[in-house]
Amino acid sequence: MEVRKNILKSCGWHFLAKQCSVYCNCSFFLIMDMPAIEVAGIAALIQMETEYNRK
Amino acid sequence: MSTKELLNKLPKSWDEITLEQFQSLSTTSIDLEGDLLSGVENSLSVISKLTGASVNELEELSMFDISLLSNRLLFMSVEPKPNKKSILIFKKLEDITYNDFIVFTQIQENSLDNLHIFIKTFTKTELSEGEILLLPITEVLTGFFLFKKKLQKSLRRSMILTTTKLIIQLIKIKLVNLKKIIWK
Repeated sequence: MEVRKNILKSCGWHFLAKQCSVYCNCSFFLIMDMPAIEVAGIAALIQMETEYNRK
Repeated sequence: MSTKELLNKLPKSWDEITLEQFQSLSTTSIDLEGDLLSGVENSLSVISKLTGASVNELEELSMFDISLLSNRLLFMSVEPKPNKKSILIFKKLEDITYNDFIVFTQIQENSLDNLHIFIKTFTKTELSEGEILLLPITEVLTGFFLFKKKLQKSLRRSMILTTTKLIIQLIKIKLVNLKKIIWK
């Protein structure tokens, strides 16, 4: 549990970048170079779609 | 080191203190509630950090010399004022990449110690991290002061824009409803 917490703390943002790259069907490095505001928008969209599909 | 050499090494104003020295000074333990002796100890700690001389070496000086050195640092009792311009130009919000944001999340815990990394990541400067550490603290302060003003202006502008768009949307909806009522 502690290991998972530490991994999430150091790499969590990179995991999110990977999720966004899969969603947008583009490279991970493209997401890393995109404006942070746009990536936040994509992440919010993914979260809303996940919530919608859950219900 | 002689008192004269120490005096020459000491800065005369905030402009002569680099970011690296400022970071080092911020970690100096200072006794704020002590007596006159604590005050002398505090001065010696600061003088040691700025000159490189050890506290033991400084303790061997006479009180007259210590007071001479301490007086040189009186400018520190007044906060530094930002200048009108800075060589540090911060990126616009839209130009900050996701990678930059991740760097920020990793350094924000020790923000003062990592200030040079923050400046390298978030400004358009071509200076290296080492060169940034050698910048005068007043230059760094001015850069952040101007960045804060720019950010506040940009946030205010975007707030006004968003509010205006919402009002226009509201008016459009009311007009459509009015139209429906009239044509009924």
